[in-house]
Amino acid sequence: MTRRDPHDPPAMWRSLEDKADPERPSRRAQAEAHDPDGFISADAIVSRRGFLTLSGATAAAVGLSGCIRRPVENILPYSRAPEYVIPGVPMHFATVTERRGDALGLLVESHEGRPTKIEGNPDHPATEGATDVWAQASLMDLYDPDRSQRAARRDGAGNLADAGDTTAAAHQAFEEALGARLEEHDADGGAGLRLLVQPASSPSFLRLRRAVRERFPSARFHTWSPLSSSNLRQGAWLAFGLPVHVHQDFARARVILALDSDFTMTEPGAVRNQRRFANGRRLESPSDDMSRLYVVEPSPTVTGASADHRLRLPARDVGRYLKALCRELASNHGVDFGAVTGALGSPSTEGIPEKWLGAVARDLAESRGQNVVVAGSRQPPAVHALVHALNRALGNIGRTVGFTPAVDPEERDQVTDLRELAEAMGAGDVRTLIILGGNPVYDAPADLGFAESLGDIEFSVHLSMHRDETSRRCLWHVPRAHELEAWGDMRAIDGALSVQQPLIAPLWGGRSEIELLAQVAGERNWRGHSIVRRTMRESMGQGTGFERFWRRVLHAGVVPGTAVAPGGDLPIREPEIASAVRDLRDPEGALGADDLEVTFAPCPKLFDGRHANNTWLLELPDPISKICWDNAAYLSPSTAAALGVENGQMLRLSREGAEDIEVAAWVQPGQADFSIGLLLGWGRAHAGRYGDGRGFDVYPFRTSTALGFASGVSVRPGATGYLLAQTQEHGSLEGRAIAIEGTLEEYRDEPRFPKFQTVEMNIPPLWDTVDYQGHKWGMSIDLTTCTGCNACTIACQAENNIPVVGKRQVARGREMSWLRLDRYFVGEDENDPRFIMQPIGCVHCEEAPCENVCPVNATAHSPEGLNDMAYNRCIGTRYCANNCPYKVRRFNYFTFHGYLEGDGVLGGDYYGVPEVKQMQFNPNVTVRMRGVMEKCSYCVQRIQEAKIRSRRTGEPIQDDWFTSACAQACPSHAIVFGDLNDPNSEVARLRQRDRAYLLLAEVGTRPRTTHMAAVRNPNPEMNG
Amino acid sequence: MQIFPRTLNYLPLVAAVGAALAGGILTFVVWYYFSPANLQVGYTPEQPIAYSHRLHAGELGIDCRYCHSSVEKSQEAIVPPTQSCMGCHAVVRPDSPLLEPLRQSWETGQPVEWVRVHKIPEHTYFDHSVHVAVGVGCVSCHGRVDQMEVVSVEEPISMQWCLDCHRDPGPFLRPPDQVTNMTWERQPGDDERIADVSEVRPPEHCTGCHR
Amino acid sequence: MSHDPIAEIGETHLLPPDTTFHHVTESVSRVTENKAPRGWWILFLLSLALAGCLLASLTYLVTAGVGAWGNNNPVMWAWDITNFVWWIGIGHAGTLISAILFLFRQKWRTSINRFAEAMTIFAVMCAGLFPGIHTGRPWFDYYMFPIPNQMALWPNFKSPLMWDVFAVSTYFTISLLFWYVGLIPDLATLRDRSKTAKRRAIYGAFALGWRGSNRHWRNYERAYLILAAISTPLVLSVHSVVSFDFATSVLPGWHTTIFPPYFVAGAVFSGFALVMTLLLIARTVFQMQDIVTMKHLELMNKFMLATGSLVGYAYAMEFFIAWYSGNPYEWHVFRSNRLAITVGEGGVSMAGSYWWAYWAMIFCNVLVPQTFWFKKLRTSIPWMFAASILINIGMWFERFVIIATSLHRDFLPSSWGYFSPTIIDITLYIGTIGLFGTLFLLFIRWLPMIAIAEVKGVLPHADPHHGTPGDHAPLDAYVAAESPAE
Repeated sequence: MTRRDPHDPPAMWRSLEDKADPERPSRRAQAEAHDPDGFISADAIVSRRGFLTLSGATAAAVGLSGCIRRPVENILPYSRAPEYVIPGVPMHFATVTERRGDALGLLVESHEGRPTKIEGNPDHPATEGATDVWAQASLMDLYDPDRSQRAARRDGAGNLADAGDTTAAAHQAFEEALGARLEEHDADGGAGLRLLVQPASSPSFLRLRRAVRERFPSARFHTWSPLSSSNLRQGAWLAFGLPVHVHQDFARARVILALDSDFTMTEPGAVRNQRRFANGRRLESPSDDMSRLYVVEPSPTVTGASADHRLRLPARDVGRYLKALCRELASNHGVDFGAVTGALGSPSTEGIPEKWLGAVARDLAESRGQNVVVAGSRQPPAVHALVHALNRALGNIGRTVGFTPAVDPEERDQVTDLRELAEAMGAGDVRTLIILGGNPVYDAPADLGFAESLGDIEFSVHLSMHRDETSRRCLWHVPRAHELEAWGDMRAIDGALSVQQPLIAPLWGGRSEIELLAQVAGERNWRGHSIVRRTMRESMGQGTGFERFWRRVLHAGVVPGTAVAPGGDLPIREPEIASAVRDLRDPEGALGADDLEVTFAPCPKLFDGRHANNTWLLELPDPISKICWDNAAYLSPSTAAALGVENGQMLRLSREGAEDIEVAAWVQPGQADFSIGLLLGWGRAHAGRYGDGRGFDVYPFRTSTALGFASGVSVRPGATGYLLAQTQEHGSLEGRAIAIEGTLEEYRDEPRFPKFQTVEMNIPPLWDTVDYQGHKWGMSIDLTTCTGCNACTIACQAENNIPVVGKRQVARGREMSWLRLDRYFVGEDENDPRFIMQPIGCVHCEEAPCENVCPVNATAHSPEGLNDMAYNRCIGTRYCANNCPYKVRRFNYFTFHGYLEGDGVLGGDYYGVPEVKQMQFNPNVTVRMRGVMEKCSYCVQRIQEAKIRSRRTGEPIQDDWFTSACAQACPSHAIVFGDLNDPNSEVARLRQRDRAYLLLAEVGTRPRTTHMAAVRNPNPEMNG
Repeated sequence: MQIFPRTLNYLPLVAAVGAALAGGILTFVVWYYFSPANLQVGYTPEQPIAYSHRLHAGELGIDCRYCHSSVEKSQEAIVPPTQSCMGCHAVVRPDSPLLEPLRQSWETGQPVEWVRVHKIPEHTYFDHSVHVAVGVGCVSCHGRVDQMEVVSVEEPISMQWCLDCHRDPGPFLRPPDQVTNMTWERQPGDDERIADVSEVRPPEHCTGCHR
Repeated sequence: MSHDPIAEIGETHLLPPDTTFHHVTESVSRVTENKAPRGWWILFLLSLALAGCLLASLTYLVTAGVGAWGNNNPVMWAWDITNFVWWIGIGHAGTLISAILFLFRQKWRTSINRFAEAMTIFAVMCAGLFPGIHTGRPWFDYYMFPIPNQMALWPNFKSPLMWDVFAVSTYFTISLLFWYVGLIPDLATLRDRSKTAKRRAIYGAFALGWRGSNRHWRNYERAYLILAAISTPLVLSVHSVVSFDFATSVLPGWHTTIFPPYFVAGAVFSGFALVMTLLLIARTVFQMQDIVTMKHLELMNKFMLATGSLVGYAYAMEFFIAWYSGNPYEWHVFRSNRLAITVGEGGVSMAGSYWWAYWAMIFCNVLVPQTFWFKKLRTSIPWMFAASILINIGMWFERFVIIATSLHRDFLPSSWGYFSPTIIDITLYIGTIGLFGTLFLLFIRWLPMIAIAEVKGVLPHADPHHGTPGDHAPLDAYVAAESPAE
């Protein structure tokens, strides 16, 4: 069907050819699953469409008719074997994905053509081998069964209908229509032709944009994404008059002041920020220094959770606080703001504790040149401008703060951009609108009336993975290729150029943005592969040796030498800043029960809503509230009391100039008083079978003038009893030494302080203790650097074929996650607690209580100290889980694979799992059936592979050969896994660390996982 | 007065003993006859192409690894792609009617549907490469394939059977270069070329094979 | 009757002194021979319906998975094991009454032992059901038995669940034998009384050709004595082993050394209570007030008073130890999960998820039996009936408290949860009661519910010295005249 291209990874094309015969394999998939024990290996489930049509891996049965011994199974070898592919040996390809204008370099594991696991690319500056929760989960987007599979056109009734009986036919129909349309525009030079695109970080995109403009001089591009960095861009523009990205080096900073900025999770460059932030707080010994983090924010984020001091402040007052702080610095610490000083005026300090001005100012003044002040993208440009002035005044610029040129110098304020488009549409000036990606009908500011006027446009096209809210209002819908399906290129914010390399042919013949753009530009050679190569060739300008260069790039995943070190001391434009700061007025009046504030934040799970049909993310517990399958309106306990609102009570929010919305209330300790925290991305109408109608859509409440936050909100409490399912219902430590924390001071006084809180019992063991020769696997988890970002949880889920169970089951307490993130509240004030995060999986006790009680020996100890779980032996008495002090064992109360698809009455079954979803399963991990216990295995499949490799090659296992999925994903490098008997292994070193302690040591279980106490670095002046 | 004949006096005793016996026998029957030793061994399915291992591996003496090429690199030994067969059969007997399915597969690109002979449960992870690496001969598990017209199962591929070797691998080890040799016998001087049992230490714990 | 030795030594009769052998035989046997009274039919059909609903819920449970129950992540065991322990406990009275009281020559046991033994057998049947079905994959339960297999795997003999398998099955076998042996002479009685050939054949077959000859009696007595001796330790062992399921764990609230005696006491306690409940019903329905007399009932109430106090002591003691041990986790389980009285600024309040279960248990198991100190209540039929039922409810709660409240909040607060039952939990439990009822009613209808031969054995004129002093009236003739069986 498609001409094979010599430069593509062969595995993917193999899969494309396989897609040709849908019929037989589906029977195969059924049959293969047969197993005397009712177990199914992931391979077996997976091989629909013959992704595994190879020897061994695949078997097919013709029902049970065959001989008594077993159903007859077939082995289906390749006809023509693709080179490189060794059946049973996974391949890894380097690629890249976009995250808020930054590029995350990835390494993707592929089993015979199916991508099954995503890791960070160690050679890429943005990830350094780590990943974030969305990169881990994007596999579920790729294998989303509800992705659009055909180009579609709006029919008479106004519904989208397939434009052809086959993918190819549908595309052809679309291309003809588009071609014809564009020819008309050739006549008028593209008058009335508009393109709505995502923020660009792709050289190819920029090149094609030029090409389109050449062809259609009067065509216009507009950019919109609900989570834009416009405020950052404009702040920088105000301050420096240049389109630049601002970089903060959180590793070198000794004092960090984050103003409404969740820089470790949802802000641009989060992964690299988190890694650097962690490096700045990593404690090897008491003599080490660690940075101090002040956070000022309205509702708790993972960044705020790891703060040493956190101030609950409504978002609208953050600017006021910043001005007051600058004033304090200027007046009492001789910090010179030059022309800006005058503009500061004398802001009111009402509601701001004195110490947050005095002590913080002193701290900043004393650490000049070694601290970072950063503001969140929710705050207006003026705040950012003032922050730059502050950093300059403190002498941070050039030291801890640097710049790199913006990837797309053209990018303007996106709201203005979109407003112009909306107005033009309203005025009927737009005849043709091509929307590349995004979902503006869902997420555009409510007051622009974009959605309304979209329907009237003669010829509108939407390229997207789903037939979503926007597609349904367009004339044409074109299926979009997933990042793992399409060629592309991307620049990280530091300029590092990477090639996005597909792992698999488009499952549903989707097109990428650049491909469609190339077609608009009228390029004959519009295939992604050619586009990217051409861009690369032009930019590199090396005709000779390009192939070798190209292959090297594909292999490394990043073009060597393209990343520039942020730096450069830019001249600052004080007058502009001054005027901007003058316009930054203090908000009038105090917030109260009748004048509340709402803040809009990207959901730490669904982001802006693009992942709304991703079951992994839907079920992922919110890092702070631990709520699954829903979002909610966060209120502080005292606000809830003032409003007389309880958990799960419906709130009707209304505000001038925005339509009312209904959201369920959640009382969230740490939330600023009279400020309501809302998470974007929920309540989708057309997300797909899993996401439709989940949670509450708050976009209607978000207007173009209030994208970040808005006050003047009133609340009408409504019906109570909306079920919000949580994975952790109890947040108090009950005074138990579980998640142990101390201050840097305490740590220096007594480095072994955690050990005094946990008594290690010398209970004489019932039977001989083993002294472990050979390997001795162990894990170390550092609570100081763990922010609770959840990346490990999803990584574990992807690696180990862990099912999701759905909201009702979570509410019953039956979630399956092997690695859970416990979040505890510390401190007296229920309105303003400290947070502490504690990841826990099976700790692999050397004296494991679970093992003695299993009547059938289904869980037993391995000579390497692993607490093995043999699923196929387990009969499910659940005794082990009862006897587990850590409650890390998970029981399959139903067949949870396919449970969501099932009727929910008779559990689920494997064949309920959409075949395309089955493709994600890791073939090296058994897919568990109903009625068996499971738990963290320390990624034993990786251990076994390493041992086999070592046996094959004869060389001993090295510490860097492999690690557990969680450790590999962790951006903070808080989780470390390895061989405790290997003197060179990092984990062996960490276990000896003074801060290390054994969780529940007093029970005498002798865990293999050690936790390292959380050390905070509070400012003594801030206490009292 | 009598209800039952005297002869029935022993009935209770007989019944009791009988029940006990029946239980024992039942257990034995299930244990023995419903085990792979009885159900697997001798399974000789008919293949779509009358491929003769006796001819290729035996008389022609083609090395196992020529077709099962990934046996040293991967958990899979693989059944060769049509390609490999055509490598020879494009010229050797190019138009033998027996090879019709092969040629068809070559033209259509559809795989030949071989029938699996040796089957391990899905929840068990067996890795060819590591077994070959330590010097377990093909013949140890697959039998004298070089003498089989049609391949059949010779060993009970049961957990017990695996464990027997894992617990005492010694007798089954040979010099790695002799792995594919169907008729190898221990020669003087082989010993130092054979992996040391204390080194081999095959796994006997659950996750060695079940993950 | 002119001369009455029992009165002379100032004792009261177990049975009215004028009770004749014939009367005993008649009043017991006729139940199996006459048409069943309406009351029996009502109860029987009711039980049968419930048993049917057991079957239905079982089918659903196995098709859907144990998720059909309310069990969740911290609370992995709930009603399933609660019911198991409860039934096993009930199953204790039988053996205790038959074996231990027999060895202690407690003649009064004769009127109730058959009853109690039958109850034991059926209760153990119901109990045995739960370990079988509470597993996630019941079709692999046979992994729990040491059967040779091609996986070269054996069960884990370190696991208390394994011990249960053996303890319970042994107990069941012995109880069954004991019961059957005891039945033989009475079966013979029924055989000889039977009018139809069919009855004669069936009872005859099971009577194993009993003739009541001297030799028969001697062997019979010997066998009975041996079985009693064997099953006596079982009474103690079974429930001790069951208690090991909890005592050997590391869980606060479970890891408790007092459990074995505590469980045994509780078991006897609940067993007696249920015997009482059933006995009171049967006694009235079949008019046997003169065979199961007030004296029997009173003695049983005294037993309940004793065991009830033992249980109360156990509660107090484990509570004390929890506090005294200074183990914060243990103390938390008792203070917050169970007792749940918190004295705060809000005054005294019941804060804690399962306080109602704990206090229900205290009321039923500790307070109620204490009323038996008063002869008035001890001998009041309505009250002892109510009490016996309350006690059984209380004993169910005891097991629930031990299992659920310990589990739902253990070491790590992050994993704390709450258990609430589903409809299947409930129907299954009710269902087993139906099964029990069905079996028991069938027993009452077709087998002598009171040990005829043994009751006769304790009648005055069974005593060789019966009659006027010095005059050894020809007892054999007397007896022969009275009861055709001998």
